[in-house]
Amino acid sequence: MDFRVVCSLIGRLILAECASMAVPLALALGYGEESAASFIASMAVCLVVSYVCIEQGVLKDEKLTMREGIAVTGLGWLSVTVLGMLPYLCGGYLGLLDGIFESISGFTGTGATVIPDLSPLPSSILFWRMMTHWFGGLGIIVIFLAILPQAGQSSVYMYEAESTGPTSERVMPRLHEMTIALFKLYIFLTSVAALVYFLCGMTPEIAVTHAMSTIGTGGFSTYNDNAMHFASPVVEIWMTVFMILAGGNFGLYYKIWRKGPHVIRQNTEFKAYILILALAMTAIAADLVWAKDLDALTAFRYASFQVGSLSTTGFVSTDFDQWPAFSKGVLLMLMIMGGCAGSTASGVKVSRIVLLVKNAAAVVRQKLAPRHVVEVRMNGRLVDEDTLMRVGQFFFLYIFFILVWTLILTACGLSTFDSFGLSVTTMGNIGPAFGIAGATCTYAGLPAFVKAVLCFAMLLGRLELYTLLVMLRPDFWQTSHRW
Amino acid sequence: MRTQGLGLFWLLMGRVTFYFAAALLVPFAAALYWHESFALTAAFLFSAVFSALLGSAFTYHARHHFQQLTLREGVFFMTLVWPLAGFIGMLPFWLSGALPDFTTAFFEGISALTTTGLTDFGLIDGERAGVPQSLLLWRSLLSWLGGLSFVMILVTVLPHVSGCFGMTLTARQMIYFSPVWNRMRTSMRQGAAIYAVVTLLAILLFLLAGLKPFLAVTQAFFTISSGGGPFFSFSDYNSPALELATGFVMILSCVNLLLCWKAWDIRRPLLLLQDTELRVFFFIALGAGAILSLHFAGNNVMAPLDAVRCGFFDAVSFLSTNGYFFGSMDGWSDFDRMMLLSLPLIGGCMGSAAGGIKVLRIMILMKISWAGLRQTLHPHMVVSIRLDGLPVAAKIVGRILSYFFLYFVAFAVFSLVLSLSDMSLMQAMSLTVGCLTSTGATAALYGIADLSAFPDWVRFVCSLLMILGRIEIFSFLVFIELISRHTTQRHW
Repeated sequence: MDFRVVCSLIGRLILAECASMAVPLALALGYGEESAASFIASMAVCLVVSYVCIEQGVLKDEKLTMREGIAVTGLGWLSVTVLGMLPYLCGGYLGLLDGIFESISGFTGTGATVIPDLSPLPSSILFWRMMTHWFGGLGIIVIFLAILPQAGQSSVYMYEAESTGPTSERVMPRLHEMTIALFKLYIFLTSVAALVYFLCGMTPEIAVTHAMSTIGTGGFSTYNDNAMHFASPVVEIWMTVFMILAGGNFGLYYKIWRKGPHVIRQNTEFKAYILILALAMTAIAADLVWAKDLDALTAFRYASFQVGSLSTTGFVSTDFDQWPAFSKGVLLMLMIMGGCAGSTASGVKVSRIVLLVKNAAAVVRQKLAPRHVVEVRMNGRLVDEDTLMRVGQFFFLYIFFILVWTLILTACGLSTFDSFGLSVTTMGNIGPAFGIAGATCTYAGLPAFVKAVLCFAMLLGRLELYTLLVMLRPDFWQTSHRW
Repeated sequence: MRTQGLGLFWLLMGRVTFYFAAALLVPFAAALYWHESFALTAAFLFSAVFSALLGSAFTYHARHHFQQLTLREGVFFMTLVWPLAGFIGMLPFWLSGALPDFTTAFFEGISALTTTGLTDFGLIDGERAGVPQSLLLWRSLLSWLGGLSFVMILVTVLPHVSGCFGMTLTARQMIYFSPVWNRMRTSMRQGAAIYAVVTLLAILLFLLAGLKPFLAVTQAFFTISSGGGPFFSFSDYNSPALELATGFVMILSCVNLLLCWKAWDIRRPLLLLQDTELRVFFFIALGAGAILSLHFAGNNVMAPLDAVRCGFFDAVSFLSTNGYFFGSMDGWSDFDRMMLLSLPLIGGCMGSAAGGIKVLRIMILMKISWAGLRQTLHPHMVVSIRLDGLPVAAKIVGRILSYFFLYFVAFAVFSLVLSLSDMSLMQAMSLTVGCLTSTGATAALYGIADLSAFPDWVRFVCSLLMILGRIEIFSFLVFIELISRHTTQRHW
């Protein structure tokens, strides 16, 4: 592995991040806020770091090796998220750990905030928060590849290291065209969401920021009480629609755009996703009506919003911490499931759950008919044994890490249920949990060690475990190999 | 293709019923000897006679049976033997009036049989009053029989129904499980012999530790079957010798009985010492005990010496899915509770009467995860893992991954169902873990000492869950699939 190549690419990533900071800087200058100074300082630091990296680094013509690709993605995410805390730190709004936490929470699309009160913050800082959601949602690597003039085959490993899902399915043969297409789709969806929110009565800036947070499945808001601030069923319905859309496979949306809506009929994952969400909404609504004596319409309003939100984004429209145990349980399971593969959400992903269930059914059928050839199909295509194994392994590792984080968090003094909720929500990049980090709380009161552990959990969940974990193996860094 | 009968199924059910009938004579004799109430003695006698009659009916039904076990017979037996045995087991409780409610009595029977240990028994206003000695004897005997039944199923039927989930990997893959009836009878005898030897050893240990003969026998029955239960208070005795003895017996209850048999059969005791699974089990037990002791001592919950006693005892108790507590839970932090909640999920060794996912499967899951990391770098690599130096087939690894998923789904679904009752989500989850791993006391960690405050349907769901844990979930799915095929298809 050639470190210089990795260095040079990471330098370019940081340069791109620096350029993106120009937007909130413009906002700050426009409003005359003092945060302009902190943005200038952050951009200066980023420029210096990227200059050093690019000078030390070397661009090469051949294809990046797989290790280099993984290193760029992993280290790139680490550097971008850590440097993303500079605006918070330079302006004195947050300390070092808190700043890193907020930045990681932003880029990974978690939406867990350590800021107890958002109102004194200048709008440019709040805008930067939401921008981090937007960039991290689709993926900083994907956006980077889309903007970079000569991406192509040389970057395929970078793309695969960041992309989510059990298989690396590509909608288009050329990587660069595909990243551009995905980026365009992303911008389009965000603009539509912003327009709809504006028409629902939000100011342009609020509409744009919340659209970025919705389509990036983040969960940050510019208000302390999150989506409860709007107190409007219309806004909530539209937010639910866009949140569910953002939890779908963007590659699928591209296919629909090109070939028409009949493509959905073949896509098992999306159908399963919608079905599961519908079932969850009905179950929770019924539970709320039965246990909390709400009327059916209100119950369905809250249920649909929280179901759509807690499987991907993390917006809060009501204090679901007060909900009965069954509803909380359903929400917890949704958080573990997450969104579809190829969406901006995290979690185990619906396609993996579908594959695991189908595999279990296949094992049962195989037992009853040992001489039959039992196949597992998804999206119309046959799934091979290798993929099924990998999916099984991923699921085990995911649950294993949730248990490990729960143990560590309880050792730090949190209650078991709160720890479990926190582990699930940070691994799944959702945001709100139960109890100490519940619907109406922030993460501000947590001990520092807990925040550090959760930072790692958020990154692990966003990069689907393996990209980060493989970098922990010492033999990954040996430069003697030629691959 | 011969017509599918269920001859062996009826035969096996008949045999089980006869064994229970014979077993019921023991507390009957004890009740006579101790001059206990007429209702109780009559209940035992009636249950014994009823079981004997039932057994004859089953055996008569099985007079035309084939020699080789079919999948249908295996699945039906594995799933239905538990409700049947639970029904017979609960008859003394129900008929004698000790537990007049049917659901409560049935739950008690299933809880004893699946060696879970949750009990509503002997409660008067929430306090555990004195129970008749013969009933306590029967309760412990039922637990022992539950462990024995599980071991029987393990050596005969289970390998053919769900053996691909790791069963064939035990004892260095040296054991061949035959589906032929005569061979199965021999295996059953061998399994019972080993189980009896281990039980005698346990009784001896308890006698040496100073327990009276009656308590020694009942405690041995409870502990060796990894049942546990709140019938015995260790803090009353405050005797390190007793705790040591119990600890040793608890470890015995987790040892792979098949491995023991194989070691004895080929006269190689080294087989036990070289077994990786057993070593890993010890490592986990000692490690967890050390962590808990350090945490207890560090938090000044109790004196250092007591912390060590408590930490190791509770760790081994929960890892072996017994569920004994040493003393009270005053001053415990949530970390201690979470540790004790997670240990039963690992469980004992494959081939023992303990519950949980089993150490062997956890080992394979961890190994494949570590190897899978390398596969990220080399996507076309063929990953192979080894256990005890022998390669593990990829198909089995895939099945074990599938099993883990099934286990999680069972946990998720039943936690949700139980949360519909008047308990918090954490309590529902701990109760689900307790029933699924046949531990029971995990619910007590979060406040549910017994199910007396909950409606009948909760007890019914828990009974189902306990059975599910014993039959390793997969058999139940096959059972459902068989039933649904039978009702939706015609056989011609």
